[in-house]
Amino acid sequence: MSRGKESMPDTRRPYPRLVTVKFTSRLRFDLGRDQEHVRADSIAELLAELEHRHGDSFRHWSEHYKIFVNGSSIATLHGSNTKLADGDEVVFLLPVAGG
Amino acid sequence: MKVKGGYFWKALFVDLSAGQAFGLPFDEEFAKKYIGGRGFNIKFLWDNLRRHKFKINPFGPENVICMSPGPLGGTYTVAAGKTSFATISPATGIYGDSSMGGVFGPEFRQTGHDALILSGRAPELSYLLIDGAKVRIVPFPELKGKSALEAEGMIRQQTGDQDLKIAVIGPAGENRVVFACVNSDWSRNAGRVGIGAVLGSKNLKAIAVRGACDLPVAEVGQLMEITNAGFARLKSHKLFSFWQEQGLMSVVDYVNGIGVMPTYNFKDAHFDRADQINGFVMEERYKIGDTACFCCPMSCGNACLVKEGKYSGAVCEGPEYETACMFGSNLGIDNFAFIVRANQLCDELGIDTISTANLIGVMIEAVTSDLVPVEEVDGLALEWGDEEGVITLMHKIANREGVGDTLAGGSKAVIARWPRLKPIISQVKGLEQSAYDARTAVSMALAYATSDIGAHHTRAWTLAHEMEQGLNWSPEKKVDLVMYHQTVRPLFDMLGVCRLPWIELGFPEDYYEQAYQAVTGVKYSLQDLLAKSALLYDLTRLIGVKLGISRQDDQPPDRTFDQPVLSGPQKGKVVRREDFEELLELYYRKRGWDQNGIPPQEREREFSEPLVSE
Amino acid sequence: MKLTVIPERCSGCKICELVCAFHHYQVNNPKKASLRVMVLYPHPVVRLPVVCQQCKDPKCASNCPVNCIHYQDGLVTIDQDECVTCHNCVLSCPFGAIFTHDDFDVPFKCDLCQGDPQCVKACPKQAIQYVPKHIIGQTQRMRHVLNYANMRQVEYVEAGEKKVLRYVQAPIPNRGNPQTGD
Repeated sequence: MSRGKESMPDTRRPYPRLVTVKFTSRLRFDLGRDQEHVRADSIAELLAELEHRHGDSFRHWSEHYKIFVNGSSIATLHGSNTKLADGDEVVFLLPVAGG
Repeated sequence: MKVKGGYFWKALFVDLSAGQAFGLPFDEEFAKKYIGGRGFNIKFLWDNLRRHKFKINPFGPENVICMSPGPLGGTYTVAAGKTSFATISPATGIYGDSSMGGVFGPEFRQTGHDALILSGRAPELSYLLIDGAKVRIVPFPELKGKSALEAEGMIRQQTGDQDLKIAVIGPAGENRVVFACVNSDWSRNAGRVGIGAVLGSKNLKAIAVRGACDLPVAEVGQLMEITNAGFARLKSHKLFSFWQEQGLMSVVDYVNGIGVMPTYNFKDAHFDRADQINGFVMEERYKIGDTACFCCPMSCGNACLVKEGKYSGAVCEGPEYETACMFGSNLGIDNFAFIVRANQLCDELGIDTISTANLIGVMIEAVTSDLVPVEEVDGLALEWGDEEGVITLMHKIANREGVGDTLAGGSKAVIARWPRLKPIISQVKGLEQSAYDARTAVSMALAYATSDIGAHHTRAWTLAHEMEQGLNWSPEKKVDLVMYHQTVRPLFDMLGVCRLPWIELGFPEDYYEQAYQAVTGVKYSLQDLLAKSALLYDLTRLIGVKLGISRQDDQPPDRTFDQPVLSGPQKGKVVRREDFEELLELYYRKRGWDQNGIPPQEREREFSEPLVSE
Repeated sequence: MKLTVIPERCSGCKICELVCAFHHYQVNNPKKASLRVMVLYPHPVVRLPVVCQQCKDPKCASNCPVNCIHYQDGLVTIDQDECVTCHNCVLSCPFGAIFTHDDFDVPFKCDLCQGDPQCVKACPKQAIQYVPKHIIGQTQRMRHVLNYANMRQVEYVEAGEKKVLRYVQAPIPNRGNPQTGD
């Protein structure tokens, strides 16, 4: 389901980081894929790129999803300023949570 | 302030030994202090314990089972279908409670009672028939060994009343399996702590109710107004329709996504085949309908049917997340059809899905890592993903055959027989851990350790909150979070409503303050109500302490400290013992308990006034 | 207009019963509702709100010994003053849509809330609907047509949105002999 590395259109910077983005739950259903690779240096850049790629089906949930980078919520890191490194795994979750 | 509604002002006391039933009146002061539901139950239990000088055998006739739906139960309140059961648990030996949804509680309320207290032991297998004000204990030995649904059908046939709502135990309850549950309305279970086993020890197979009274509601118009607004608010939530589609099954993706989904007997916290057992699989291949509890628009129950293959014809209401995880990833199984079958079998046999799958997971690990020789598990060469073996064990547990006899005694009995298994059993105070891993979020470890019934998430489920926002919070803030959960979540059980609208769709807590006022006419702020709930936490602790609980029992399962997560986003995570002890210390201080977790003597006086003096 | 139910959607939550009883009697008592959600399990799994069909030739009326049940303008009504409370109507309704309660002498039934049924508004699953008569059956007809023959579908994406296009494969494969079924 994932898009290959070679189809990466982003060339805004010389060496943006390559991260793996995973979609879960309703988001995965709406976007029709469970993961893709994106070049981005920070969460803010990543969000901009994903909005660019998926438009409304991504924006629709924007106020709801929780973002985890390598198992840590970005709220406990630096929010949308959180820096990304090569190989980072970013997970998008919807907070229908259990309990 | 005068209480104008919400109560019928009497609890129904049934002495099964003597075959007598009478109404136990209570007054306004009692109602205001204990609110109802869990509150009433705890107080009745406490009075009974004092009467017996704190010497109670959970299976003895002196133990009581209390049941109460709460003042909002059965009213036009968002998700008002919850009923709380409480007793001295045979699994833990201390206070235990469990609640069920469905329509049983609201129907019971319409018989004109606020609570039910069952004491003694019927001379032969019977069921209790509460038809409005008429109460009868009906001997019916033919119910022996019948599944919950069969028994329901037989009782309906015998009475000739199709509209009866029936709470019933399966064969496991009769056999006193310490995690036997009470089933009602097809698949709504008060599953934990072995309420069903205590009912079984009282020779009571079922409680059948039919009622038609108007519920006392002080301001009906106002209640309609605020609840309609509440419904509108719920429906406007973006995730509402998604919730209707998948209910708690959507949790699989979330929990596995953040890496806290128990896998291979809690050894791991990430299941690589979770997408075989998640909500989408359920929705696309198995779901045949939505089911809901009384007065709830969220309809999180998913009726599931297996349409092809080995388990073809298996049908159940559910499974929900706990079951899917415990019978799925925790046993290394990625076959959703099996999970549906296992859930159905649990309902038929009347056993708790969490405890059953937890203990079976322990046995699989014990056999595969040679901790227990195969001969001691009746020659079953158990393996991860061994569906046949799991089903065989379930039958053995419910019928107490062979190794099932040990497992039926819960984790305490398993540890007693094989002390070397203690490090691999995930339990607190004898109650098996539910399906959330606690190694990443230390507040969740504290929540399990300090829950008044044992390792269950019902009292505090702080996992998501801490992982989403608070991993680097101060210990104080984490303790506050646990204590807030332990105060607000029991409040739902006291009022008789479900907590899911609140925790899942962000439904505001102050709605309940308004609903309570509309129903009873008493204006309490949310803070007032929370204070009453907090008081009860001291009382359940006092019960625990009197029955031998102290600091050494307030420990999370061993694996929380000793077994780092093997894979997934939280790989390598483990709780450091000193971090936990720091939190526990702080927790005691904030509760006003001493170093050993004992509440001060004078707190007892708060509860000394018994409802009836003898 | 007709009150219809879609059992596949019903979740059995009883909100309709609660609002019905409240609207007519201002009490919190689902047992005083003029409809009843029936829940059956596990074989078969059915949840179905039973509600008066407002029959034009009502069995309840023809079996009423004192002729106190009347059909007028799409509504079947029991005349409270004339009723002798024999409950023949309750027994003769083929749907069981006439109800009784110990607090009331006279059986009661759905009155469509003066043309604004509250249950329809309250149902969180849109399982009860109040629709013009010519709408009834449309869904069934459409479903029948869609199931007919060899319906195929193709998924495609338009402006970032997933869409489905349905079509019938031509030529239609051999449908067999309608008389023998071969």
